[in-house]
Formats: sequence, structure tokens, C-alpha cells
Amino acid sequence: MSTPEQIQRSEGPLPERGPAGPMARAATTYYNRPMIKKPTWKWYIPGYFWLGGIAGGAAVIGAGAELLGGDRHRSTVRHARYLTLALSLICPLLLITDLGHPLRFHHMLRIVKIASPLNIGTWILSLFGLTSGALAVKQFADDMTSIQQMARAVGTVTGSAKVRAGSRLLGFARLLPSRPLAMLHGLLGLCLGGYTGVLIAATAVPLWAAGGILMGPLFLATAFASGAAALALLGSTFGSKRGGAQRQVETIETVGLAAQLGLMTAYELMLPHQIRKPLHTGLWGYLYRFGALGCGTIAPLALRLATRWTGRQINEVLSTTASLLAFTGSLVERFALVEAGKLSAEDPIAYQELTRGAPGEAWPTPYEQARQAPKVPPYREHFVAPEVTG
Amino acid sequence: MAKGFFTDTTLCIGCKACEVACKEWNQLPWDNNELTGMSYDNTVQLGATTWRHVAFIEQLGGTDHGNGQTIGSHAGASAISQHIQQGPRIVSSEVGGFLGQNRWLMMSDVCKHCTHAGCLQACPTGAIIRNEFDDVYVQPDICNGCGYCVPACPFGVIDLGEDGRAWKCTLCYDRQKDGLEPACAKACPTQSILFGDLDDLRRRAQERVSMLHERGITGAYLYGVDEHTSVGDLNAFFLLVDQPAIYNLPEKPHLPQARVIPGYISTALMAVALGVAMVATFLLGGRQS
Repeated sequence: MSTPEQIQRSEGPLPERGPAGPMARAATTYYNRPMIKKPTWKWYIPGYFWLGGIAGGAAVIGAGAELLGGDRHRSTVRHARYLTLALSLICPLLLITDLGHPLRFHHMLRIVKIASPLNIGTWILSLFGLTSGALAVKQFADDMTSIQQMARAVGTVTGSAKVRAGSRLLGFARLLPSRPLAMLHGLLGLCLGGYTGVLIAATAVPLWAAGGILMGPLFLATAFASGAAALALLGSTFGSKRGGAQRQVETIETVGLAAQLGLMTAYELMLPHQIRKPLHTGLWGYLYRFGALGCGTIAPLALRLATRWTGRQINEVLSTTASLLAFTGSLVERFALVEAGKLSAEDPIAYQELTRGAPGEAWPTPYEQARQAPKVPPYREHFVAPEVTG
Repeated sequence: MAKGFFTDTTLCIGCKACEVACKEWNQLPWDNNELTGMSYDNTVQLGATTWRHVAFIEQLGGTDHGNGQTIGSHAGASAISQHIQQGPRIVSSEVGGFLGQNRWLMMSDVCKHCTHAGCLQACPTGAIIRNEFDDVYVQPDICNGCGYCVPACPFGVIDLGEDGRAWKCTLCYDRQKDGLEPACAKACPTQSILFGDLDDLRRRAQERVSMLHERGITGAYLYGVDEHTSVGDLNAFFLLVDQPAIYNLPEKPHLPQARVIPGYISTALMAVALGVAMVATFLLGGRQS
């Protein structure tokens, strides 16, 4: 590699690139063709963002409930353990299905690469699968409290030797150290909920890249909210009576939703107009604004606020509705962000907006842009054939 | 020794011999047989089976020669649209320049083989490597087609092929191993594509820029040398005479992975905040009820 000193430079200052003056920044494209390639990911990936987020959030809350929640959170912990096991079985399948060469999925585990959030995420998901499996097995062993129960479940059909082996296995499973495992599981859940945001921010896609450091926190907040919502829904469906444990899970969901609302607002304010466009127009923009932001974030928060003044009976309905909204809202948010990102990748002006200044240099804020709004329409074909005038 | 391309667009005649030579040597299938109607560019973009792409920019309405004042893309276009809207006027006398000529710009685009390559850093399998010639190479036997390199490329070069794996210019790794220059550089009839040691190429490129400046083309500059962008210098760099966006190149490409460590940090802070809130809920909530 050469250093700048080795290179002979022409005399004088570097020439202006292209035209100078007020027109210099006017948008110009190559026949309106995209400057970058949009992601090739199919629905599996936003689907994974959704389910992986729920798994991460549920794991964190389950671990917290196990370590700090005490006895009354027994069913929360139980739901969290089974839920994370189910999701940690589905998520890898989604990811592997999306691969061009699915049988080579294990190539992800050839190396450890900090610069590649996808690689780190594969490791997180693999370890997360191990801890969810261990905790779910332990939960199963605890649920089958006595050999007799176990024998009723397993041994009625099969022979007695197999029952003995099974009971011994369950006995071993019951010996698993649940508190350290829960702590590890919770930490991995935090990583799982957040890394996907870093992953999409580390691309050239304008909508995600412009989000910068906000994407990881936003994805984590959504993971928290949707994980808590899933646990709250499981609690209200399978739980015996609505108690303090349920209310605590719902409080955590509210906290997650509030963080999500704050981050979504900051994200919107941070985005230059052209990059923000797919979030404001078209089907995905509509879904993002009314589905993810309106029904999925603001509405459940408002409902939670309303429960402070309503009676006990309505309370339950409102709270469950809020959880349901937050749960589905997170699905809409994931899909809308991914699909809107694809649209912004196809927009050369948005990518030019992103790559205007040097890295680290702030691009014009929406305010500055409004002041210096170009007077020429941004989408202009070069090829405008003049009439022959003779 | 770092090897690369210097593509001098002022010498390009748009013959597309490089595209053909690349396809022949690398045994790549054709992409389409359609006419785009937008210009003489029917290849449109780089892709999994197109590793050289001759961009063809038709600037109508004349140019102010030498100052890089593209009239076709800016003032010229508005003059033309004015002309169309307000009835016939003689375009050339409007936007002047040296005889108000139309201008054709041609650029043979290729993978830039960045010093800090987005695709290479994104690749979770380690399939994308930097080879002994300092070029970015995708190992087809390792790639599992996750597609993360596709949006991670700041230039939109790499793409997934029909077989599900990622493909892009190899800078003719196989030919280089045998001491041959890449097929496109070999085939280029005007020496618009030069292949060689990067230090030497950069020196020659600077000389070419100085020469063009002396001859009055003051808008000429090198794209991908001394850039001070996070992608670093490009191993395949270009001599351009108009702003990068005209050639479908970003003005200041960012390395997407520059956002990874800050992202990890902000996410960790968020995790701490949410974790504290959760712990507080479990502990304080217990006291209340």
C-alpha cells in the first residue's frame, strides 16, 4: 500500500468535484438506478427479527423473575422457559431456510468475527439455544415432580427399564444449576434482542445506516416490550388468577414500550427527509406509522395509562388488549422497517443523502434541509430529448 | 504486492470489450437481451454474473468544457425542460460552453476492492478474504449465501447469484496467479483499464490528471485515491470528470462496519437501562403488594 507522500500530486488545490455553486448539491442520479443493492432477504429474516426479539425479551424477563421475583413468579418463569425453548428451535430454522446454501449453515461457526454482527449473532443464538434447552429440560423435570407422575406420563406404554433410565435422566436434569444458568440465559437474551439492530445498522441501506447507534437500542426495546407482552398474554391465558406477578410483567412491558416510543421518535427526528420517505409513504410507511407506532406503541401505552383510573374488571381487558397490541405491533415494526429499508436502498437520492459528508460529519438536519431545499425536482431523468428546431 | 485497476474514463470509448472479455474468461452467462432505452447502457448494473459494467452517461445540451460544469445534468436539463415547456429555443446558445456540445461519459465500473471492504468485514463465514494480491476475493466453496454482504457493500457491487452464493469480480485471481493481467485490462483497446502495482498506477494516474489539467480539463480528478473515507483507498480507482453521482458512485462512501462498535456500546447501555428498570420493577413491586 502506498502512503499519501509517495503519490505525486498535481500542483494547487484539488479541483472541485463537478460543478460548484448552488447547483452543486442538486440531486443527480444515473438514470435513477439504485446506487447499492437491496438486501435479498425473504420474509424469514424479519420474521426471525420478531421471534428472536420475543425470545430474547422473554429470556431476560424470565431470568429476572427467577432470580428476583420469588415464589409468585413461578408460572412466569415456567412460561418463559418453554417459550424461549420453542422460539430457539424455530429461529435457526428460519435463518437457515433463508440461506442460499442451507446445508452450509455451520460455516457461520468457522470463525468468531466481532466486525460481523451476523457472525456474533449466530454464536449468540447457538449459545442461547443451549441455555434455553437446559432450562426447559430442568423445567420439565421440575414439572414431573415425582417418579410416579413421570411414570404415568412416560412409562405406561414402554417397559420399566426405560422408565428407570428416564427417571434417572430427569433426576440429573433437576440437578442443573438453575440460577447461574438463568443469569447466562438472561444475558444471552439481552444480546439476542439487541444485536439484530446493530446488524441492520451496519449496512449501506440508508434507512438503517442513518439510524446509526439508535438501531440496536430500538430493537432491544422492542424485544423487551414484545417478550414481556408474550409472557403477559401467556400469563393471562394460562395463569390462574391475575395477581402481582402479572402486573409486574405488564409494568416491564410498559417500560419497554416507553423506551420504544422514545427511540422511534428520536429515530424519526434523526433521519433526513429523503431517507425517511419510505417510513412516511406507501404501504410500509402506512404500516409503520399506524401499525407499529400508533397501534403497536402509543395505543398500548395509552391503555396502560388508562388502567390507572379504571375499575378492576375493565382493567384486565384493557391490559390484555395492550399486550396484544404491543405483541402484534412488534411484528409490524420488524416487517415495516425491513421492507422500508429495501425501498430506501433502491432510492439513489437517499443513498447520496447518506454519503454526502465524510463519515462522522453530520448531514443536514431536516431544518437545514428545509432552508436549502433544492428547487429542482429530485427525480429527473437525464435523457430528455430536445425537439429538433432546425 | 498490491495489485489493482486504474480505470481512466477519459479514454473509455464504451466498446464493452471488457464486459465481454470478463464474461468469456470467467464463464459467466449473459444477463438479459433487452434494450433499456435509457442509453447505450443495456447492462445496467454490476451483479453476480456481471463483473464489469460500462456506464454510459449521455449529457445533452452541451458542457462547459474543462470546468466540469455538467450542463446536461444540471442547468442544461433545466434549460432543456424549459425549452420543452416554453417552446423551442436554441439550447446551445442558452447554455453555451464550447460550441455547446453534447457529451458522452463512459466508465467501465468494477468491484473497487476497497482497503476496508464492507463485504469482507460483513461476511460471517470468512468466505470473503483478502488474497495475496491485496484484492477482495469470495471463496465459492465457503460462501453459504447468507446475503449479508449484499447490503453491506457501499458501492452495490456484490450480489447473490442464481446458485445462492455471492459473486463479484475476483480481479482475475486465477490469471494473476499465473502472472497474467486480468481479462478486462487485457482486452481494453484504449488502455482505459490499466492493471498493475498500485503505487505505480497511482503515480501514473496523478500524472494523467496533471496532464488533463494542463490541457484544460480542470474537472478531472481521481476517485478512490487519498479519499480519507472509512472505506480507504480503492484498489480499483477511477479518473472521473464529473461529480461521482453522475457515474452512480457515492460521494463519500462509508464503511458500514464503522457503526458496529458504537452500536454494540449503545445497545449495551440500553440493555443496562432496561435491566435496571426490570430489576427495580421486581424488587419495588414486591414491596408494594
